[in-house]
Amino acid sequence: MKETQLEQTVRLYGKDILRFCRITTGSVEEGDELYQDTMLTLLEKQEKLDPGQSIKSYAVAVSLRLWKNRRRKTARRLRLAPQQSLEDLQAQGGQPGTAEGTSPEEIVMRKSQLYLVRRLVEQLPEQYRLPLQMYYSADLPVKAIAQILKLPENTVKSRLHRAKVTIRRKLEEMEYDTAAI
Amino acid sequence: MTQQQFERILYQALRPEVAADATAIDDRHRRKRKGTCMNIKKFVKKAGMVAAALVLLGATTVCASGGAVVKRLVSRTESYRYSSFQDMDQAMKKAGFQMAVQERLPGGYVFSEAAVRSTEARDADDRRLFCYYKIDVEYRDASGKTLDLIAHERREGIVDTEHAPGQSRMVGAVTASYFVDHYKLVPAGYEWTQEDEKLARQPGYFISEGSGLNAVQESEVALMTWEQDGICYTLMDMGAQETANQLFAIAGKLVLGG
Repeated sequence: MKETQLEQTVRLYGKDILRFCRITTGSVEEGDELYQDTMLTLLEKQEKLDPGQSIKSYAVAVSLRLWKNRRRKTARRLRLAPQQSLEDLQAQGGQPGTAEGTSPEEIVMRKSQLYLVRRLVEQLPEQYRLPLQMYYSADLPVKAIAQILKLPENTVKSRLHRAKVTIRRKLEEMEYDTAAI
Repeated sequence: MTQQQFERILYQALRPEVAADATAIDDRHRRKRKGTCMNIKKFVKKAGMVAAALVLLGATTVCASGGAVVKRLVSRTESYRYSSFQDMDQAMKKAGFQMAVQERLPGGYVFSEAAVRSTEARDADDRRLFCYYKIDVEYRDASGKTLDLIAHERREGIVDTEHAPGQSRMVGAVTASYFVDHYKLVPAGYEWTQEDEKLARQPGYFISEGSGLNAVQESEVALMTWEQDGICYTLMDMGAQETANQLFAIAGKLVLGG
């Protein structure tokens, strides 16, 4: 990959990759750092890139590997469990323009509800959480997720399904108000 | 809730808006990766992030400190990072103290990177008593094994280990102590068993909770501590892969220099 190709990758897929990094780390700052590392790793590993390979899938796989390494290292080095700081993601809210004419109170409520959903996703076991984050945050198809996680496509599909069922059940248990979204 | 409503919720929650300019490659980051950057990279600037970025240290420290009692230490996740050994002068300048440091250590360990982090000492009511800097120097060998050398100025009320060492030896004019601690990292919401309660009361056994974990992870950490010229040093061997003798040899190299 040459630098111009990297720029093209950033233009085409940068948002999805960055979003995946932020959602996976649970932090804008850490996600941005992971994104920068991912892009530079792409540039350095140019000779290993298969021309027929999806650069976006490769980037997500790289970021996942880097994040796992970093999480392990941080947990050990600081003598603590990995930290999560979802408040900054909470402050961002969701996609703008999906809830027209809402009052400030409703916006705050909507943000806190989206935050709740993110927290529920965070609480999923990794085997269910990662496919969900790849599918929604990185906007990857099931086939690509299966390749990255080295799983059969049907396994990815069933994990996605199970993850959604779990979250939906928890939301319903909490009598979640979808009308506010 | 219909399936369509639910899909919309998931989509909105997991696809927060990302500004296009946030995806640009940061040149400072690039230089740092290439090992030519002499500049400090300061990660977090937003004040709103500070509270979220505070991280509790695993071990609780209880000591007298000018009348107040240091109940726990809170370390900030933000750090100043230095990618080259030549940058250590800057790291020490930032931390406000000089430490004994070597580019190469016995056992094939070579300087990898350094970070300066601030740590707050807090009392039982979570009030800040004082703040101090730590320098964390990471060394790496050819197989990827790492050692961390952590240094800070001696502060009243701060101890780096709370239990008796497994071994102590004179290294030059200082006493170096060797410990092996056991860490159990547990997922958020983990319910402690009776066995956990019992183990947590043992010296050198720590249970720490983190929301990013899905399963319990256990790890041993070997520590070598000493104090020289008012600076407290901790050499940390994750996974306790090196022998006590090897860590004493490394401490000797740092204490005696050369």
